[in-house]
Amino acid sequence: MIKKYLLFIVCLCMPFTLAAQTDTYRLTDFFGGESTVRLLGKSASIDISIPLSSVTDVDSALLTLEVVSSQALIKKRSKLYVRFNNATIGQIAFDPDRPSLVSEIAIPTSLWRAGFNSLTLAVSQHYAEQCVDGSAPELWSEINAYNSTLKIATSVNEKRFTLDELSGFFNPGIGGQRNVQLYTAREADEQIKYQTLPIVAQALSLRNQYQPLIIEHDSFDDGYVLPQLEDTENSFWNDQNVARYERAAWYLKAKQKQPVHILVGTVDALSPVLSDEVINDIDGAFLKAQRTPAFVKDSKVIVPASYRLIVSGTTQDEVLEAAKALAVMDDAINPISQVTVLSQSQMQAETLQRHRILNPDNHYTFQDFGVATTQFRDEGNFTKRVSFRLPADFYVPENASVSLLLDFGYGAGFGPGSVMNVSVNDELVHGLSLNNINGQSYRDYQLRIPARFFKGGTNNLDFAVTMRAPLAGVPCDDIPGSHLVFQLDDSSAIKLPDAGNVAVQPSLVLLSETAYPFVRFKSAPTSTIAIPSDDYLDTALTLSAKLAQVAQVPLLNVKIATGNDITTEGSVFVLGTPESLTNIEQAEFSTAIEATKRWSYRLQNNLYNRVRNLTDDQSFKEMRVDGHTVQESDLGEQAVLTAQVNPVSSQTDTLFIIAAQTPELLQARVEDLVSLSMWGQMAGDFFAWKDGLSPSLIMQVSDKYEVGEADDSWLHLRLWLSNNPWYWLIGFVFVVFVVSLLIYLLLKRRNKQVQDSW
Amino acid sequence: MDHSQTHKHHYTSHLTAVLLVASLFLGALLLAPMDALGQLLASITILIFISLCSKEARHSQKYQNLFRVLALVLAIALSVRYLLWRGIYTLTYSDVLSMIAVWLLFGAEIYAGITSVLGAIVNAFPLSRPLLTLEGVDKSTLPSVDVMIPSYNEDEEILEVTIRAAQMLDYPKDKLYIHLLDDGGTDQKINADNPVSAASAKQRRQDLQALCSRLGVTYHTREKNEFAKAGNVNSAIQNTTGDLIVILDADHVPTSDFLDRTVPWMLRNEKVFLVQTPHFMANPDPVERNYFSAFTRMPSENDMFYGTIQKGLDYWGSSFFCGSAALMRRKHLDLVGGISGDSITEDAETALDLHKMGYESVYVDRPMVSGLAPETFDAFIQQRMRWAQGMTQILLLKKPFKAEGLKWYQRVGYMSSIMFWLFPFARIIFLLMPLAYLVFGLQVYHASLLEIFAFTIPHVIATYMISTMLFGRTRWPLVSELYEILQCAFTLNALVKVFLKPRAPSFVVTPKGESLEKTFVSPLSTVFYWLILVITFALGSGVYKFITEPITRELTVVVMLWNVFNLILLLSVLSVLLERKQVRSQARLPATNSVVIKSENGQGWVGDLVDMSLGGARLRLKGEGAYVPEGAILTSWSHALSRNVHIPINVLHYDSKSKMLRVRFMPQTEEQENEVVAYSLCDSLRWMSFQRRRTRAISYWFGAKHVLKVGLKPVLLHLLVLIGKFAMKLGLLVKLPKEKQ
Repeated sequence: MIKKYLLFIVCLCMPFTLAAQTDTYRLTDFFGGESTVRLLGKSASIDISIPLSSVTDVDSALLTLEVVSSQALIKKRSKLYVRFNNATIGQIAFDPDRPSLVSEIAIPTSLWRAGFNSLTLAVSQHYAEQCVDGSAPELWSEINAYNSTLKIATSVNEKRFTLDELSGFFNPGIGGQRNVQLYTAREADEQIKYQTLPIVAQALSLRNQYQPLIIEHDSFDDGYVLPQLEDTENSFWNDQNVARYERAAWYLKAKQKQPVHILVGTVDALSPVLSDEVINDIDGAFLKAQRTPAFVKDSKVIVPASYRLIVSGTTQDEVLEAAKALAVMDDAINPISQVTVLSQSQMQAETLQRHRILNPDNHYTFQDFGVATTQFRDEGNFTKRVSFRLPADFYVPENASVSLLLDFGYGAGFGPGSVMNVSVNDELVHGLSLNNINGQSYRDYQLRIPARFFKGGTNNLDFAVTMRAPLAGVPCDDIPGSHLVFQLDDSSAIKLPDAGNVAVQPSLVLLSETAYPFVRFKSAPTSTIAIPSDDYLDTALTLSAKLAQVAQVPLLNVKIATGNDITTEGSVFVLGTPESLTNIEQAEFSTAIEATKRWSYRLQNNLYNRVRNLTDDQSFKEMRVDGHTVQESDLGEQAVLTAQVNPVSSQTDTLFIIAAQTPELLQARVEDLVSLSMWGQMAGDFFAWKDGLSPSLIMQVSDKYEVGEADDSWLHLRLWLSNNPWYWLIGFVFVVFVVSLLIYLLLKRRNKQVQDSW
Repeated sequence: MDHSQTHKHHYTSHLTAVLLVASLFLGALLLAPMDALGQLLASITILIFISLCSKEARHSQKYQNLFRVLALVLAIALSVRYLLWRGIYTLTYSDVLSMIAVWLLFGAEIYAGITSVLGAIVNAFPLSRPLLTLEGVDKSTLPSVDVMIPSYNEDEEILEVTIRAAQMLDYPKDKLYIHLLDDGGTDQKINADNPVSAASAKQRRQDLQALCSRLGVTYHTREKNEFAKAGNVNSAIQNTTGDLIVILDADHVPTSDFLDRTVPWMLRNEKVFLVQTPHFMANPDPVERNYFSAFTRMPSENDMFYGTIQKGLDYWGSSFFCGSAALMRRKHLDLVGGISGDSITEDAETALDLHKMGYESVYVDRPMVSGLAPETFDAFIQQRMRWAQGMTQILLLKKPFKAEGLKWYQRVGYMSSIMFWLFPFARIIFLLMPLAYLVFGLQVYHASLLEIFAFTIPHVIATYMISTMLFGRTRWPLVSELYEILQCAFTLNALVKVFLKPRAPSFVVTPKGESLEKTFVSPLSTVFYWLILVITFALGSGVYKFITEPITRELTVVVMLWNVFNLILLLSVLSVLLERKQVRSQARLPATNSVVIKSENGQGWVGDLVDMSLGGARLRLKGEGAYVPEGAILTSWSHALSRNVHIPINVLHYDSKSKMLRVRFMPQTEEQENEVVAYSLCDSLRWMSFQRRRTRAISYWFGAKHVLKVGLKPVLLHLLVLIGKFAMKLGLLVKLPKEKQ
């Protein structure tokens, strides 16, 4: 009996041992910007947000800072303060004799909290005991954020596993999963593999927000085979141990490193791996978060403990419905372990996609899209970034404009040099001097900004406010700026013009920013990720998960297809090797990836194949790529992503091809591609890369075309005519000629009549 | 209606139906949406087509008129597309002020669009009538003609010349009756309360009665000065009996063939109530004199109206009475109670009334009456204000757009003529609207730079191309803009008054024959100084806006260019306001007659006239070492009299280098007086050749360059005058005693 209890305790402990790990992060992993942070003036600071998963406990954390300071700083009064969640955890004195230093600071584990933790690096810098000029150039120090690191040991803290914890496991913060295994029965149905699995993959990646999630697909057999255990008595596999083995996740492969895996399939298909109680519970679209015990023999873990999410149902459609429910679920309101989905509404792909964006011809307050009232206090430079998403195919006439109706105000006692600058997507659009000594408050302060400053996808409005205290007028007597206050209210609004749904293709930039054309907003035609065989399924799932992350919604219209034929409907992502791609008719493509390659080398095409932003192109040069070289070669280590018009589509659609020499290389390269560093670098319509750091070559090799929604015939006409102005012109000239001829004949007749009357 | 006429009518109906269907297609095409880049390509191509077609239309060839119509339809279509685009996509505003500004501008553009479409219809097919003559017509069958010369305050000398010329009209004398209609010596005037004016009126009546008696014409006056010129003529009509009536303004000197060329049209068609001829101006108006100093080299302002527009109106059966230089049928005038008097442009109103009754008008494009244009800018503005007010009165009181009895094309003709006079509204908006954006920050034109290139600029270019095609010979580029700017500030005020009280305006006689003894700045200049100041300020604001508002730089540049264009035109206008000294009381016009000069002792010299006026001539002598005594006789062939004339002359100057001789006519007898008038003013061939000489085709850029070049020169002079005025106000400059006198 004692042995049993001991065994049970050991089993409970297993998850902790399983998930305990130590990682080292560079500080640059937590913020975008220059790797060297320079702090200027008498006092300055930088806040770095460090996310932590809610299921993770920090066992230890060590911050290593590499700092260089100005030799002009005096030791006593010049310091670097390190604060973590507002608690000062370290004070580093700047020593003019040791301008370069490396300092290690342990972050107390008690200070960590789930969600975002704030690491503040603040400096106080003086070159004299008094009369320090705050803008003196010698007041500086630098933190090398790239070389500065955070070494953190974490472990999973969940003792129980409920659905609300999913967002903890799949989380962009420290401790979140970066890959996941999806298990199906070995002979899983096509709908499960090609339709349901992508949605499950997307559902999980959406929880990871911006952190990539690598998806692996695996399968289990119909039944288990008891493992051959060394030095085992024949009596070991008694009913009790067999039952224990059945409860464990015996099907897990040895490479399993992450705590959570997913089981996807109908109840029948999953029956070999589920307990009878669970099987009995499944009577519809079913989701269950379950912890499986480890199977341990003599302190040796035969099957590790695990967390598993079961996505199931009695039929394939119910499984699909369960996956969809998982994709849209708000985890926080489900602190339970299992859910049976009875029905769902508003689950059309286009509806979901529209919910994540600001829709044209609408008026939104900042509050509507989750931007709270912002207040800046004290002297200094402050920035508030307001981000919102517009449809990727946001298409407005040249003269349309977006109205910003800003509610903001500033308090009394602002000094010279206090300003507010407003930028749209890094383009300065407005400046205002905050020069009323009594302060001022504005309501509906209107800025009309040409809509072409906005783009499909994420747009950023930056409010850069510089607050300066008034001048004292007496040497060495500064007025402190603690009274300075600026407030940008959440009642500020943005008014969008009516817009069509058109995008210029092919564009990998648009794909990387918005997942267009797989995500559309007026309608959501079925789109496909085409793979030659199931060997490419992991890659396809990873890609579909990334697309959902980019779109920030599950892509219910994206499915995976196997085989050699490209679908004639919607946009297509074709994954393959040069051999498998031979089946695609690539004769009309500027570049072709087959057994023989046709490359449009840049020198053969006189600048045309350099990357350029087609919509902003002011040269209006027609782009033609004529020169190419046909060669017989391998792709080597690299992968190539191309985009061009889908040659077999019934409507104008885009065909993307990702090719690598082998399926394994393709998987590795796609994993590189979806990484944070690579995905954002996509551009042009030809993208080649061979690692996760930087692309080998980016080019624009195809003619541009516009893709729009066909249901608006006016817009359709506009598009067609804009693409084919010559047709309009020919029609125009012809009709004008007919009209002129008729008028001429009538005028001539009248002239004759008048002359006859003489 | 016989069979062939029915067939023709059906054919025309079919063509019209097909035209309507084709126009619908064209309308659909014009509505079709397109991005700016596509439109830019299309617009450039269309402009090339317009350019080619208008070039072909200016050459005499078989399909000249087809190309003309093609160019017109292309340009109108481009303009309509622009206006549709403006209306559908660009009329956005954020507040009431912007809304007002946006709609004002769009309204002005629509007005400009409508006037250019109406203008294109009117001028699509100008009518060229053959030159008819009374030769071969039995003189006894000719109708009797009353020549009426209404006068109000014109000098006796001016009237004498007109009467003498009228007496020399080539028409049977027993059928020609000349009447001087004096409204300056009416009973009302003679009995005026003011004794000075009463005495002056009495004196005028006596003088004119003496003149009439001396020249053998009838003097008319009346009790009261009712209904101005119209009342004066109507009063005389009641006391005369001629079948036809010629109305000549006091300063309008007819050539001898006036009746010979006009009466045949009355004989050919009983339904003709009016034969109008051009007003040929023998002196430059203030714009021509002050601005261009090129009266003899470039077309006069009214060349466009009489040389092109009236011919177009004639084609559409809607050429109208212009107050003078016209022959009218008494029978028809009686039907409408004489000259109409509801408006102060009684002439057009009378024509409208008779057109409504189905009677016809004829326009004979041969200058056969020479008159005087107003000399000063003040007088010029007064004349134009009367025209603008009168035409607007017709619009409001007679509503020609829905007048019963008028054909659709006659309505178009009248509306085209009337709508033109509403230009001050649009011109002021075009002048001041850049301010709304540059100074007040109102977004009045909601378009991107690319769209402006694709829609706006092609529309403007097409309008100028068509204008050049239609009026290239009779109106140089930018001249219309200058005239409009000059008039707009004053006529706008006058027009507003008409809109408020349509019957209020009264007839004001245009002062003519004023002398300009010194150069001075027109007293009407102040408003232009203000406009220039305001627009310059807007330019400064634009520069500031360009620097401080990077987001709207494109639009700012476009609006600033627009503003600079306005500024250049306004600066050019300054030169008109500098009233230049007029050396001669009568303008000398070119002449080419051969002359012989004989001295008393029988010596003779042969030469050719270079130019000539009523007072004298300049001629180039042939042969070497000429010496002409001070007094001599000039002998030359007079086309007007069909015989040689012998005019005593005084030699003023002889330049032996150029062999130029300047002489003054010194008529001694009545006969010689008549000869001088006939020789210098009664030859329509001379007027024609002069007119042809100055209505030559020039390139658009040459014209624009010339106009701007001569316009900008006197800006400095204005500045000096202004500085002088300020200095005097500040007491820095003491007035010279001479000036005090």
